[in-house]
Amino acid sequence: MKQNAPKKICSMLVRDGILFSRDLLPSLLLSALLAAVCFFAGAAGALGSGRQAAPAVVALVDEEDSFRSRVALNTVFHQEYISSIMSVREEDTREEALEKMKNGLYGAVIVLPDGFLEDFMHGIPCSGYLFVSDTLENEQEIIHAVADFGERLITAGQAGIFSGEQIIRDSGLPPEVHTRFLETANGKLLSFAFGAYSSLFTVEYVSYGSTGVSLPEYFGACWLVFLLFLTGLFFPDLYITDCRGSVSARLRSCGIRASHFLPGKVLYPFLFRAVLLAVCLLLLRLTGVYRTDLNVLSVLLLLAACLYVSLLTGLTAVALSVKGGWSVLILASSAVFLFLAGGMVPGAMLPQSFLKASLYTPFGPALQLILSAIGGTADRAPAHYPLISTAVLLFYSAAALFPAVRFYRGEHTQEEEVRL
Amino acid sequence: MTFHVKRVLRDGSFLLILLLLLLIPFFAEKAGHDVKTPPYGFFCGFEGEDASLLEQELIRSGFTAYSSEAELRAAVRDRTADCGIVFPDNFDILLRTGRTDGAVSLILSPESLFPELARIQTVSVITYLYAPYVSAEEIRSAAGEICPSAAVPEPESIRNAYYEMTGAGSVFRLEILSADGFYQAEQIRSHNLFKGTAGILILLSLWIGCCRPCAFHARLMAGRLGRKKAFLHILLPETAVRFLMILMTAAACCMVSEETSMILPVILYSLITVMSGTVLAAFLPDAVLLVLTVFLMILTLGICPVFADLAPSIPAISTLRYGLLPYLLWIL
Repeated sequence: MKQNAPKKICSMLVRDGILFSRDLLPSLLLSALLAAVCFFAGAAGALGSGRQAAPAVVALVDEEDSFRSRVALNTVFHQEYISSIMSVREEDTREEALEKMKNGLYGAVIVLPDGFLEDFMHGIPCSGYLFVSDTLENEQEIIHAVADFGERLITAGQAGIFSGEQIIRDSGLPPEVHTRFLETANGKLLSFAFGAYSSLFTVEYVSYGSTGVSLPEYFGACWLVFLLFLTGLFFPDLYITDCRGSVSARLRSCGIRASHFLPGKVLYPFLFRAVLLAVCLLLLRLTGVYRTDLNVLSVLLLLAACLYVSLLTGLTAVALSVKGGWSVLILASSAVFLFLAGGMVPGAMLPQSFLKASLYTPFGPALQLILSAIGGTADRAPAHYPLISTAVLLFYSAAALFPAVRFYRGEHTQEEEVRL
Repeated sequence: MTFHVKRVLRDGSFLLILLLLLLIPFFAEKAGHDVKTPPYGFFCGFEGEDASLLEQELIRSGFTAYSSEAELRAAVRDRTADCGIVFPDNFDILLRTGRTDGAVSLILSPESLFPELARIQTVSVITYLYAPYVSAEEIRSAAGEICPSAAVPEPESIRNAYYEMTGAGSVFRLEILSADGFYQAEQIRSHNLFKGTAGILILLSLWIGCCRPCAFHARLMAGRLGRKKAFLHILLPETAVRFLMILMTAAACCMVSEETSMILPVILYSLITVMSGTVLAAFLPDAVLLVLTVFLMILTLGICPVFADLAPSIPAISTLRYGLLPYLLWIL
């Protein structure tokens, strides 16, 4: 008795359901493990976005070498924010330090001549020397900035004290005022200068590039998409079993067409991915990575992302199942696309062309859908991004569908010709 | 042996995997080195003499002035400025009264490379502007306590005397001189990315490109030749040919990346990886080996210090990563 199309689809769905259930338990376990490792990798990528360079190594030669000079220099160079950008080592003589700089040990040498502190305290012009290695690149600006910082502080301190002393003299105020002024003014200014680094500023972060979301949210979205693509590796039975020559021939002889054959290959992984994505988003919300509340539109966008990925990976697996290597292709291409999207190496380290190119990869539409769902892109991304994403999504979906359909129908057509 | 070499050269997927190894120098050369820090930006929301001096000093320090806060924020977001400093419209009053805590906004991007430098320079400029107010306040306070009846000098006179002195030039100067040197700053990011990429790609190449197909081929031929002959005449020679090709490519990548000190660790790591891969490929199904490789690769990115070291936040990671093969490149 001939079955009609809905009955054939249902029969295939039941069959695919059985195949899917064989892989379900291992898939759940592997997906949980994979989600955990992706979380660590994404966290490491997000944390690794800032500067990562060792502090510039600088030699300090204090030719005065008095108790007061040692205290003063220790106070300045052991401030936490100075020592985080510059590592200062003391040398006994100028010649020794310059020799070591020539040999590559130091990037710069600071020389403070004998008597500098005495001259400085009495307002007598004095200078120190900063020898900078000609091989320094980015570190030059660090050293110049710290030198400027030191000079300005000293200038402010000196001029502040001397101008105050001058005004006290000119106003005819008693010497006790002068003594009291000297005791308190210097201390107050130094305490302001050294404390201002942390107390002066209120820090705010802007969103990550043109995405409209923060850096952790962006990395979270990238690795979620990567996870969705990789879960395609966990359903080999579902994709491969029916694609074997003998089985597919049997199915075709029962009147199963591509339109009956393919839906199950997409539906079950789609449901699996939807649940997986929901759990991951819930966990990311609990850990504070995502703060946006989801509305109906967000949920639809997320489901669209799951459907798109399921379509792409499922149909690719069917089309390539005979040739083999589909799993390596999904793995390798997902990793490359993740890299292009700036989910591994920070975007600032990549050429801009890579980031733009990622929009046109299969990864791009899925990432844009998830970013839109969590509140990103909005007013930050160029206006044509949604249009491009939609076009790319449709293109890749069609590109995956047609080979899969041709694969299933290709042998059927040949067999018909043989029978005729 | 010639037979195995020809067989390997006809394997397109293996040649693709060898090409993947060429990503190693790319990561070390292109994506690894610290990029030049974009200039810092600032927006001055208040007006007056102090505002002009502030702008002058910040521009002298290499900052770029922006005409509005929105423009500055957009520049930080678009990475044309590394970070931005925003002075509010009442900053002059806050400065005169010493109530500067939290007064200045520091706008950062998640990718800001070196905001510490901007902070240091801003602190030095603010201190420079604040100093005459400190002197005026301390004189007023001292005079008020010691001789309340005396006429206290106006803050403006102290300020004028202060800027007259600073205008005459600094009493202390640091003369900057260039000198010969061979200093090379340690490129932490570049080293870690190199080790991470090399570790992951060599693992992928050896396990998937070398051990998996060799074990598959040996299993196929074992039925015909027997296990011993399959092991001696198929598995060993083909593994050796593939291994040597991968090793030579990896060593060449080390030299191109100027990481010649990593050649020996890479060789040792490759040897250990190929031995473990051969054992696993012999006993595990293909799909399981592939999944295991995927996990190891992603786990390496997470818990080895490729991008950032999570061990200080999660101490268990420092023990866990000893179980990862690619971590050998950090140990060796």
